Amino acid sequence: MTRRIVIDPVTRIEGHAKITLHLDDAGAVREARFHVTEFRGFEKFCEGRLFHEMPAITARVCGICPVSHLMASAKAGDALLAVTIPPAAERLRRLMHLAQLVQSHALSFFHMSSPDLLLGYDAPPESRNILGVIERYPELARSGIRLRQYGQEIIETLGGKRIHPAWVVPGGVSGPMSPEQRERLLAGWPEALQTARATLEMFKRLLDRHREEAQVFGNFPSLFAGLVTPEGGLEHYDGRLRIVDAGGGVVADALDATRYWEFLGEATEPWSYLKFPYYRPLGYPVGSYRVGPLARLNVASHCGTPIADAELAEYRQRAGRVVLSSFYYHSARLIEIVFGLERIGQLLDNPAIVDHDVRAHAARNRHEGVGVAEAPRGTLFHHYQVNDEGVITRVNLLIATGQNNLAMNRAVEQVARHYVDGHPVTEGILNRIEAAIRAYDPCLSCSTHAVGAMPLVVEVVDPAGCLLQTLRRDAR
Amino acid sequence: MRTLVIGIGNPLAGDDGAGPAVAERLEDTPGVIVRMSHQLIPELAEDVAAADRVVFVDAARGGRLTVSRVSGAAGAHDASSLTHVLAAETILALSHRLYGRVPTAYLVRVPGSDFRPGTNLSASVHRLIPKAVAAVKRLLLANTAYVR
Repeated sequence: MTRRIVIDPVTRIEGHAKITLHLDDAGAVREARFHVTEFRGFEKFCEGRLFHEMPAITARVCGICPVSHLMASAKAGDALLAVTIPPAAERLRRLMHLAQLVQSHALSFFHMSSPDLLLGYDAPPESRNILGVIERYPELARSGIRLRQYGQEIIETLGGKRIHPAWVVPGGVSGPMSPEQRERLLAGWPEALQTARATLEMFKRLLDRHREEAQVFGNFPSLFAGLVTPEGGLEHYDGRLRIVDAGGGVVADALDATRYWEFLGEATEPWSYLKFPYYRPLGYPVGSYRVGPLARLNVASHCGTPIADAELAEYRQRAGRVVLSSFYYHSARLIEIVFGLERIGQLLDNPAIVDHDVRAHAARNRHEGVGVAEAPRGTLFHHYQVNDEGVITRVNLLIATGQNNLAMNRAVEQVARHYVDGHPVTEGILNRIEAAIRAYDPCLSCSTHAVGAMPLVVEVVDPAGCLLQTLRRDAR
Repeated sequence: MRTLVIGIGNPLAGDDGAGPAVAERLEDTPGVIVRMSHQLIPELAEDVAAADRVVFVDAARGGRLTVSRVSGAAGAHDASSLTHVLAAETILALSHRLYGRVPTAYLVRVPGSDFRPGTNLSASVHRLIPKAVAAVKRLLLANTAYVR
């Protein structure tokens, strides 16, 4: 008899996803799939718009990482203008970009993952949440909010209070930072860094408690991709793309990310609306790769800031030079928060951050432009084609969560095989399956371009296709 | 009395923009602070704690235009999901537990029908926006605020 288990979690904003576990006659997991079951054409919607509007429009794709879309879109716009933006504009863009990295990673760690990590994967679901964390660790919970607030303060200082600041524009940014703003942001910086360091120290003490999860939460060989500096260091705003293999070997280096189609392909599967990007020379699925914090620390030789570099050395001592377990996305995220804050401090310390030359003006000088940046969840590509008037004729967005699609599927399968043994799936097992996906911090609104009021569901299916069990988690 | 109106939703996703559309029309109302957000996020708890009264305005799939009271008591149930969305109840509970204050809170739900990408609201939502704004204004007139 075949059996199938499906997990279907979704919310109104972030698309419709479902996990299906196919069991064999012995009740073991034969196959597991993470489906996205709704798709909407956001790229199509952008056609007919002026490319100057694209940063503000694409930033609205996502309520969690709008700044990443702003950056990639504005960089595509820079390419269409064929300009090099002023140095002060790049500093300010980097500042905002890193602020969002801190803010987004803090949301992932403190509010989505800390209930599992601090209270345990088997804790009762009614208390395994941020409110449960507040009960037990009130100061930590406040720290998470303060970190997010510091990131938000930087974003709002630069871009204004609107949720989708239109301050980042093709050619640079629309206005400089004032000395008063700089002083205010500098004043909040020490506490933010201290909070990030304390959280990382706390997490390191927790790692031994989660040895089993570290072993089975998406622990498999794959390629890893991410931007690096010219020196090979950790990079989020610009740089060249590096791809390494599971042994740390550099498969490709100094790739021009704005010509991604030359080395990245996009496969499709009939059971998912997400595309499955892969490294073209190795083909699909061998060429599938992971992106995001774990991948960035795997491809980079170093971080480039003192505290993050020390943390990276310790992390590699524990987990290896190339870390394969997706559980360590959590560690990588916290190291990146520290790195982001150190870089923010460096940027704010530089008096040139308040320079007034922040925008290059030009007419459209090209018909095609690509902008690439490292979003919190991984490499983000915006690719536009325009006509003579600068009206968009084609858009392709290659999103981090899509690039991690195959890896998330493999993670689900690995966890399910480890924990599902033919007995009914318990809430704790369901939570571990979800947690394996959560480690990637997927943002389904970007990947699926979908909205809709939908629940989250897991289904268990037998070899004959009969539904054995449904676990539903209503998000609202 | 400080009233916080939070318009929830994505203005680029058709009727999902109903919440921000209502909130936008209340921006110049005396005593009202307006925030708009794709989704509820934890740091909004601080804004909530600083208010005497909070009105969440959100789109809904189908149904009728409704106004209901929201309490933080049930907020513990939307944890550990795969998404980044928090419920209004959770934001209220966060406000209570982190800052010791919970204002009176209401949820205005505006039923939508077309959530495809686009900046246009459906005709039915267009018709409901003034009614939703009026409903919020009636709440503002009622002297029901309290802080626990």
